[in-house]
Amino acid sequence: MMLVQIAWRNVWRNRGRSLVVMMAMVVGISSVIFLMAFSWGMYDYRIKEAIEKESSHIQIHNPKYKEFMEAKFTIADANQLDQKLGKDSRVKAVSNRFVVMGMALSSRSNVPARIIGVDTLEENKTTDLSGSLTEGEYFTGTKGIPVLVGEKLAKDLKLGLKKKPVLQFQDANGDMTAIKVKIVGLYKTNNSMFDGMNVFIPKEALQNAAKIKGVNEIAILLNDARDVDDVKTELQSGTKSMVETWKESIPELAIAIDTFDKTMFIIVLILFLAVAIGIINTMLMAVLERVREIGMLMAVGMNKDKVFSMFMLETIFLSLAGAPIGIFLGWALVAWGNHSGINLSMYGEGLSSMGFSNMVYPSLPVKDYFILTGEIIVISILAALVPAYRSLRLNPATAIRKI
Amino acid sequence: MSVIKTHQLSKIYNGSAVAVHALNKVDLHIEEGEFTAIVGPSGSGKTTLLNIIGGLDNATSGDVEVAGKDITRMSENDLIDFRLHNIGFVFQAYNLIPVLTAQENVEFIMLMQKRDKKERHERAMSLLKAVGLESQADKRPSQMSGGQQQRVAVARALASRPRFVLADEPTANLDSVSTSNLLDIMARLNQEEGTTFVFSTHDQRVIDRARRVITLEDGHIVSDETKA
Ligand SMILES: Nc1ncnc2c1ncn2[C@@H]1O[C@H](COP(=O)(O)OP(=O)(O)OP(=O)(O)O)[C@@H](O)[C@H]1O
Ligand SMILES: [Mg+2]
Repeated sequence: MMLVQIAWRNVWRNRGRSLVVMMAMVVGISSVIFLMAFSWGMYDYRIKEAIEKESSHIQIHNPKYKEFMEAKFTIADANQLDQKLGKDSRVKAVSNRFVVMGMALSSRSNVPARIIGVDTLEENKTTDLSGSLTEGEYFTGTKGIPVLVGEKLAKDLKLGLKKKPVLQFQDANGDMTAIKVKIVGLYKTNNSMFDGMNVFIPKEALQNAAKIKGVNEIAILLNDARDVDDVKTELQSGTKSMVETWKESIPELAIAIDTFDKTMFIIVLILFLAVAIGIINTMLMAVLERVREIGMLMAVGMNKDKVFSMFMLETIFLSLAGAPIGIFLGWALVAWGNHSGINLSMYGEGLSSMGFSNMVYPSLPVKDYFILTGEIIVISILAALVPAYRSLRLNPATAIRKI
Repeated sequence: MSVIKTHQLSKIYNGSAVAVHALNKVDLHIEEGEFTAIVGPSGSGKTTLLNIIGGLDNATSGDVEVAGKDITRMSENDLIDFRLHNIGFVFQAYNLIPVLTAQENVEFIMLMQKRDKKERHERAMSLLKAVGLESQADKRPSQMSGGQQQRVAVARALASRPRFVLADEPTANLDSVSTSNLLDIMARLNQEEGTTFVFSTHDQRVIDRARRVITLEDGHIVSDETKA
């Protein structure tokens, strides 16, 4: 009991030094929290966007389609799957697509394109495509074949609304075929790479031109993202087609998130390590300064366990004194950032080409605050071991001699 | 009964160049109730002797028996415990824990002996009274004079009810008034409570107060006089 008291008062013996350590702790913890929340906010948004606008939760293909990327490898049991999905209450929307890789040609330029034949109603429910329109209208009835293209693609083709590019691709027999289409709308997502290659077209028009019946991609949007693995497993068990979750269909994203998590972990580790080294250093100094006192304590009967505990406690107090303030400050920064948003449009070009938003709303799940607190406690205990252990190596006779 | 017995006690420091015989075959008996000064020129081995009989340092050869126990063969942790229960220490300086008050410093030793709160409190206050510092009970060492700090150290040394008190130059940093004050208190505790004191000193006035004076030179006892 008195050990606790002594340790706590010892923390305040060198007020200035202790305050510096606490400041370091406050700055370290709050910046770690903010950093984590910032990147979590960025990724959370990116994932949601990628799922809602691009990949949906689950995609089904013919395994051969995945391998050869040829439109003729359609999904054999598409109808059964579609019916089954229609009855599943976890499924929010389904889009049956016919996708062809080809080129988009204008008189001034030609660009590789992913031509996606869709049921316009289905597609809109699944990817909210009409919500991404910036110009024009969603497949309004006109003469000719209406298409929606990304702003980026239109720019690359140097074409605008109502202009008529040609889409060129191979048909069922491997012969080149071309259709003239009319741009009725331009869309823009946060992923400019996506916008630069995807062309949406009514499904029948594309199927007729390609002389292929059936679909080669089924995209499924769920009500709750947490069901993704269950639904996938159930679907896969009843079909020879290939069922993939968003993590598999956009592996770049999953890898990016994973890499990012690891990078984050290392950054946090380095930051905490720096703070821990500062604490260890300060406390080693304290031990050296108090050699005589420690010698005296051991001489008058304080055993090594108690000396050890005393320094453990002192270090832990020193390192944890700043922690609540750091956590609070971090939380406050996150709350402020979340409220007003952080505008990154300065660096927007690079970000939006990777599908990130220019506005970031930092947020951190409550769980992470607890994990962080746990980490801080573990680190301060580990940091405490060094000076406490050092104090044990003192020998009372030599220490006392210094008196 | 002898509370301290040494037999052929030697201490050799194997320093960098030459080995120093800090103690050379010292035979010494100290009885309960003594008020004894260890004197001698600087480097004669006073501190070395006190450290070894206090269980703070190891002898190179010979035996030390304290309160009937051979302390030369004790493990380090047993020795710390032995010191806690049997020996009171007063050093020249740095006796007190700076972050504790006078009273807490005295109580601290009893806390380590696991004595209950009421006893701790009462004994601490009565000891502070005995050294004339009851009014300073709530002060920290930095708020007290050197003489007051040494008196608290004496109170602290007695708190554990030790078999004897070892004091290595307890007055070295004190002015003459504080010195005689501290000696008065030690002498009174020795007379009234029967506490055994063994202290080293250079100070003739302190030597004059001792009843037995042991003189060391080059690690040998060269004289041992008990006043009538
Ligand atoms: N750690 C050590 N290493 C080497 N030699 C030492 C060590 N400690 C003491 N000595 C030597 O042992 C001898 C006795 O020293 P000690 O400190 O016991 O003398 P002292 O009588 O207490 O002297 P003083 O009156 O100056 O305090 C001295 O020659 C000293 O230099
Ligand atoms: Mg000495």
